[in-house]
Amino acid sequence: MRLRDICSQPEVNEPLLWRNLTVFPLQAEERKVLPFIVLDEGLVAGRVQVEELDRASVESVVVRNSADDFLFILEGEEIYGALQNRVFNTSVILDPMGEAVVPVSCVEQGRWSGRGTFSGSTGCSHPSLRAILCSSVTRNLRTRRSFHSDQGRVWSTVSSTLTTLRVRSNTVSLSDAFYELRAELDQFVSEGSELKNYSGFLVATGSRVIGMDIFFDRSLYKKEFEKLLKSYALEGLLYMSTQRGTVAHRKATRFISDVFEGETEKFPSVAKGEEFRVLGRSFVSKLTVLDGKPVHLSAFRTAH
Amino acid sequence: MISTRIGKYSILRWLGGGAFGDVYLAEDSILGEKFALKVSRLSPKEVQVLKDEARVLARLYHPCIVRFYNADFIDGRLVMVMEYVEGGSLRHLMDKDPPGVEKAVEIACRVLEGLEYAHKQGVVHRDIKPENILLGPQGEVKLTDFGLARFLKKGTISASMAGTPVYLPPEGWTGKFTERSDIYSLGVVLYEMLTGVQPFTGDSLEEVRKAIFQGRAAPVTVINSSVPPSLAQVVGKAMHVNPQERFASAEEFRDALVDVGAISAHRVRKAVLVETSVKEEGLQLTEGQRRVVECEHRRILLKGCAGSGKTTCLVHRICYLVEKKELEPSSMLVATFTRKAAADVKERVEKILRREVHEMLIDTVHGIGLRILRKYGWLVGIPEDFEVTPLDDEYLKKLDIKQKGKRLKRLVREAEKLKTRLMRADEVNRWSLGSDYRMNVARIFHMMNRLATEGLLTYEDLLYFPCRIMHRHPEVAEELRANFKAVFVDEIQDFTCSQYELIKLLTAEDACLFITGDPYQHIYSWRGASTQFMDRVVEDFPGVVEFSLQTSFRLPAKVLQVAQNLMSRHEQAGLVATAAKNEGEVELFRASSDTEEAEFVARRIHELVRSGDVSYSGVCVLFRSHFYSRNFEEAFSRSGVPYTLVGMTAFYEREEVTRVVGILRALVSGNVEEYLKGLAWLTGSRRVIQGLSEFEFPDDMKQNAPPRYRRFIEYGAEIMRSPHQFAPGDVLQVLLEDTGCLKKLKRRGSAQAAGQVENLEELLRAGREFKGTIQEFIDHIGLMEDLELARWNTNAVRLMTVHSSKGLEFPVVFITGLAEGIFPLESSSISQRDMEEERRLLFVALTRALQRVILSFPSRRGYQVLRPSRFLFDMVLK
Repeated sequence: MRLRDICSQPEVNEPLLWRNLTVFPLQAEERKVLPFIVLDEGLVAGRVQVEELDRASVESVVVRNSADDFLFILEGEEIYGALQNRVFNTSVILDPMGEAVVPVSCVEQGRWSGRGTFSGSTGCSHPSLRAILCSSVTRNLRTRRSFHSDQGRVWSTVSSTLTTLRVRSNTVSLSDAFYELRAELDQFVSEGSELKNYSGFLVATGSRVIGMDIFFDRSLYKKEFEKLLKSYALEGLLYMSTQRGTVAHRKATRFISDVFEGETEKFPSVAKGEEFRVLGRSFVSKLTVLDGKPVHLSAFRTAH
Repeated sequence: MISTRIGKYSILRWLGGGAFGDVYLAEDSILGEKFALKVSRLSPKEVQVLKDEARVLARLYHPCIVRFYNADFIDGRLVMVMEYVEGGSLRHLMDKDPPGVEKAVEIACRVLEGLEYAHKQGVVHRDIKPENILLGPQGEVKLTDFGLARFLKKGTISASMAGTPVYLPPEGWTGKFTERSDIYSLGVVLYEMLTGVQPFTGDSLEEVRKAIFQGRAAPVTVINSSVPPSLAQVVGKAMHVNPQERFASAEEFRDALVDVGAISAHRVRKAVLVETSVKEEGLQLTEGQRRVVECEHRRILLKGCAGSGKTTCLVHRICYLVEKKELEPSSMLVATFTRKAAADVKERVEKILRREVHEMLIDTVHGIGLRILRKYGWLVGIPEDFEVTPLDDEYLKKLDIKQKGKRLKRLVREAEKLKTRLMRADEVNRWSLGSDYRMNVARIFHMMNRLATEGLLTYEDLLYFPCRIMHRHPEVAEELRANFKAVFVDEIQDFTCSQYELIKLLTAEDACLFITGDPYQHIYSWRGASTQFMDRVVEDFPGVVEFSLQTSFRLPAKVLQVAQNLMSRHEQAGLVATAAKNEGEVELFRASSDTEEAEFVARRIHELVRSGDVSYSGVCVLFRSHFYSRNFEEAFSRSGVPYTLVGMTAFYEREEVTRVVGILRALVSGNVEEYLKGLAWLTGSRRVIQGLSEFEFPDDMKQNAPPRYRRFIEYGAEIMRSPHQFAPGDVLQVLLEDTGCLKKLKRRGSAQAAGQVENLEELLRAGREFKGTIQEFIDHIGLMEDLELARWNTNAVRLMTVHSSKGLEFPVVFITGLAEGIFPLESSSISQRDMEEERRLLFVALTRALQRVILSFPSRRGYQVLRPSRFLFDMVLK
């Protein structure tokens, strides 16, 4: 089954530029599923808790949703605190009043100490890291039916990101990059506010497509919008000195066509719903589906 | 975020960014040229301040300064159009492969050349750092982002991303910048190039600031022992904490580098001005010029050859009378030949006096006449709200004259000549007796007078009627004369009778008078101009003293020789010598056809530009008549030579400009129907005027208009109630931007629409800059010459007739079509007198060149075989 059999391709709109990023607003068919809360929203309201396991493990955490709505966690979303900062290996949909053990990866190699509760969400990892998470999880799902990632590659990606961006971090923490560069990332968000009127976006840097995120529920998209935009902005800063051209419309549509023509592999999600994954030659993508309706699609270029 | 298309520019890639904004490489879809576009993040208030700065920056033209062409507000952002320099910044070089001592000093010297030039123009950079020094692929060094640092918000000095503000001098931290601040900053850059490290570091901004204020930098020789101590001392002096201890000027800094042997003198170039739209002021006048400027006689007639500094003397004389004789600028009247010349004179005067002189009346004689008519036109039955417009065919048809087309146009021209001769109606009647031809001319003359009483005046009426008024009403003449204690006239050799008479009527007996002219550049006799008025000055203004300047500062020696050969029958046209620094070049090309001639010119332009001798905007292609331009336009379009036509269609005659000016006129005159029709055109919606006849304006109209247009109708009503309270710029903003008119045109994407957008944006820009009422703006546009338009700032070859080139100068001038029948025109039927005017016209063309003249002639045009122009033999064979 191809992705195009599950949902239709989005409409690609005229691109916008921000420094070395070309951003194509995407308009997908609206498919309202259920009302969702998102992770940072739930954590702030105290309706969602994320904790270390009783026997703490780098690879997993417990998520409890005591809200009346479904909880949506975006893959690559980062949580900070507890024994070390983590990112979620895949998107998770949790029932109201539900609980699950969720696979994560460490993005703070230099710490393993602290309290057992995560304080909050700092945002979402950048596309390079999400691509690694997505592709390594897909491989592990194929071979071991496991949502674990390639932790070694995650650590080296975080480390090289901090080095390239010249960010000093005592604990080699990805969140330090978001903190140090917050002024520029905030600027990107403020200048890109018109993107909120769509369903998602595809971003390219220089002459290369980086990736895209599409939500089939606009209200969910609006909630995740800011952290996603910042994550792509961070990616842009990584390639500021090497990738500066603009990408033509046809390149963007070709990437999307390739993703939608990809032959999918279906896996049950960590909690609710299913995932349809594609591991192409030069890209990886994942569609999260709930009760037969698409919720979120992400796709990233892997051949950097 | 911005679109990938900004106005007519397509974004190709991001070049870099900073606190001010982002820079993109973009292609001009009309010219096909690449530019660097800086898209700013300034607020609208800051943008307004920058516009004044932009005008100054646009005048900087130097090989070591990135050319700034234009600043415009596009899609809600300020966009600055600049020269694109391939290659990278000095920062990239330093990060990748630090320059050695010799290279570092050479780069610093190039920057100093640019700074020397800029400082002489009164411009301080304020933000010299490696990121703002660009290195081109051929080794060029160019300084960019002049004067922009002042637009950074307070608090942008920080230790984030771009590094620490180590280049900021101590006084810069409190916002006090002078030329010596630039010296300091460059000293720091040189320090970094020589050592590979920044001189001031710290863990916090405060630590860095302290280090800068204390001047605590490790000696250069300690970090890099290969740097000679004498050079290290020079760097240290440039970086002194006390500005008074630094080098006083960029030139001094550069000389110091030569003196210590860091760079040999022959590798240091003096700043060469390739082209300037405003001449350098503050330069020494020659002895001869000084005698003219400071002459104690009140009345002066200055005759001078091409490039001798006549206008310079006029400018300095104005300033001399203001500063030394304490004459108020408001009591001065300055009459120039073109409005561009008026703007240039004003700018030069303001530069010397270091203040604005809005109160000084500087205009063409036609502009002066228009002002008189606005106030006194009623005395001869001309309504106050008259408009200036060419005589419409619609009126000529009513005369039922048999002649049509070109012949009819000739009759109209003859009628206009009667006006320039200030003939009265009864005199015209007598003159017309006994000739059908003259009878028809007289009928047109009388029709013009009738139309004038209905508020439709021709260009010539702007001189005719003021003279008539002042003759009939001496008290008015007296009142006007009392306003002017000093009268200045530039280029009197091409005055017509009516122009001369008007100036004479406005000059009081005790007023100072300063007149310039060159009889060898008299080229408008076909319009009724005559050099006789230059001779009459001595008779009509007692006490006039004559001066003569016969050294040209513009013409290179070889061009001078050719010009002298051409005019050798006329005592060498008053040219005795040249003081220009370069020899110049004169080339001659014979083409097998007019098409080949155009292709040659295109090819030669590319060669010259690629060799770095000149930019496109330094090249002018001249032809005798408009019709000859077509081949060149085609050849340039094919070969990618950017060009702009000058003087082809009067600005006010362009359709979209006429429409919008018509709307403004409707607002001022309270013509509701015309306003609403105009609004329908702007919005593209005929619903605006639906049911027009059923309602009274404005309340009923407002209620029944489509909701989204109501505000424009209300706005129009407000203006009609008191038009004087509205600034033209604000009104045009509403009409052109708020209605979505410009946006709609831009979306069309066609070349025609792009041209319309350009014209309307030009109109909007003119409106924003104009200080006056809407009616005054309408007058201003009506008289606007194509020469005035801001397109002078684009990097494009100028194509124009020789007549249009008068008063201008270019490094490279092509004079084309030098064949009998083209230049000179119609040789078989031309009179001796007219032939001499053709000769003078060619002389004017030659004397536009600063460096190089390229003459060309075709042997054939279509099937017609052509003989070389007789003037070629005169020029070349002597």
